[in-house]
Amino acid sequence: MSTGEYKSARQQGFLLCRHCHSLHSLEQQHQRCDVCQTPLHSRMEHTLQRSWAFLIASVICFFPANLLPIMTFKSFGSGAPSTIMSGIIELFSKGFWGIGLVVLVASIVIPCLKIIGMLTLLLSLKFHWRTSARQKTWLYRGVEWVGRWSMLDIFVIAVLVALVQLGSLASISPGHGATAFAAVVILTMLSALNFDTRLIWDKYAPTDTQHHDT
Amino acid sequence: MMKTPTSSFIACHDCDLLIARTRLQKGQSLNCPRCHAKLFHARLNPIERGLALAITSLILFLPANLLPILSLSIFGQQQSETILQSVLSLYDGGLAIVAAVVLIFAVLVPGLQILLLTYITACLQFSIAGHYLRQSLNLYHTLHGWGMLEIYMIGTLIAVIKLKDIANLEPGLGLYCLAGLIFTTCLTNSLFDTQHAWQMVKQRRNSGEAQP
Repeated sequence: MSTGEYKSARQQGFLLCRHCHSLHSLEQQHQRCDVCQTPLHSRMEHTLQRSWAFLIASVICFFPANLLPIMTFKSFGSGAPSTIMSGIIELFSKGFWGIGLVVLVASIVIPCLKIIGMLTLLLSLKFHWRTSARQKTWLYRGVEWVGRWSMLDIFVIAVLVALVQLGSLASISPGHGATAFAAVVILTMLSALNFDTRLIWDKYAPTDTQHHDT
Repeated sequence: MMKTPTSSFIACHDCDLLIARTRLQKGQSLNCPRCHAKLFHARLNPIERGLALAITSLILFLPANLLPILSLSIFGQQQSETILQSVLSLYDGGLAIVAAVVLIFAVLVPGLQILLLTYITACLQFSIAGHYLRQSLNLYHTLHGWGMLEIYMIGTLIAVIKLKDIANLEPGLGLYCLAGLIFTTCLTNSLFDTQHAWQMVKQRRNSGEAQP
């Protein structure tokens, strides 16, 4: 394997502070970094447990987020509550294909892909799947980069609710689906944030040093 | 100062690969040979540019938040919207949590980032002691990625498209300030990074130790 020739900092007795990127010796584990004063850990503590916890919580919130109405539009006393999906269908039926696609990608596709992506990463570490570490790293980077963009629908609701307040003429009120949706976005972001990518590469490091130790 | 082994190596923050430290020319960047993470970018005058951008953002921040972003008119009735008003309407609509989320990601985090950046760059640029420099840099690093002004902007755009059939919409002065603020935020992200600031903090501390 081509990655076999590389050695990690931990194997050679070093530890990187992830805040200020200064290098320390491994003995300083659990002490504070002398530059930025944050606690030093060779790998993030409880990274997999935390990542799993946030991911499972986000999956739970995913259902109310898509089933409960996110807002209700009322004009002259009549109107129906709309969910995320019905809002997208409405945009498509009005002929706004481009913008409908943007909302579809931001509110349905990205949260789904984020959950599936994190699930793949966590399961592959749990069951030691022999997949490319480089691909997994890019998968993580994709999840991390794209994560915040699913907040889009929350801001759309915020703008609509503030603008359309014309009494009985027309008004939009927010629904509780929005709370669940915001929770999905934040929880998946936290799940990604608590995942230590260095664990992906630890599996590929030469194991000779560990064998000598044990 | 004695050269310790830790100062002749760097480690990749994404895959923990240990790499020998190399000197970079201005404008060059160093990527991890194994996972291709960007390890360091020797930017041109990052502190000076960061300060300029922080001041520009500071000027734009208040009008972007207080002036109307959009105004809507329908049957002679008018309604205008600011970011803070959208927070209040969500709160009035019974969604306190969503209101808090919008307040935090679209107002508080961007505002705090601008204030921190101003403080950090001003301290480093003018060699001010800066007792809270370390805490500020840590907080700035933690907040990275949680400011969502550009997403608010796209959200506004989608709201316009949803409403343009039933009402007349006018962009307000706040929208232009918001666009400017997003532009300066993007520039800040590509021209300034905390790593360079940390290196300056380290250098300062080392020179302080050499001449007590």
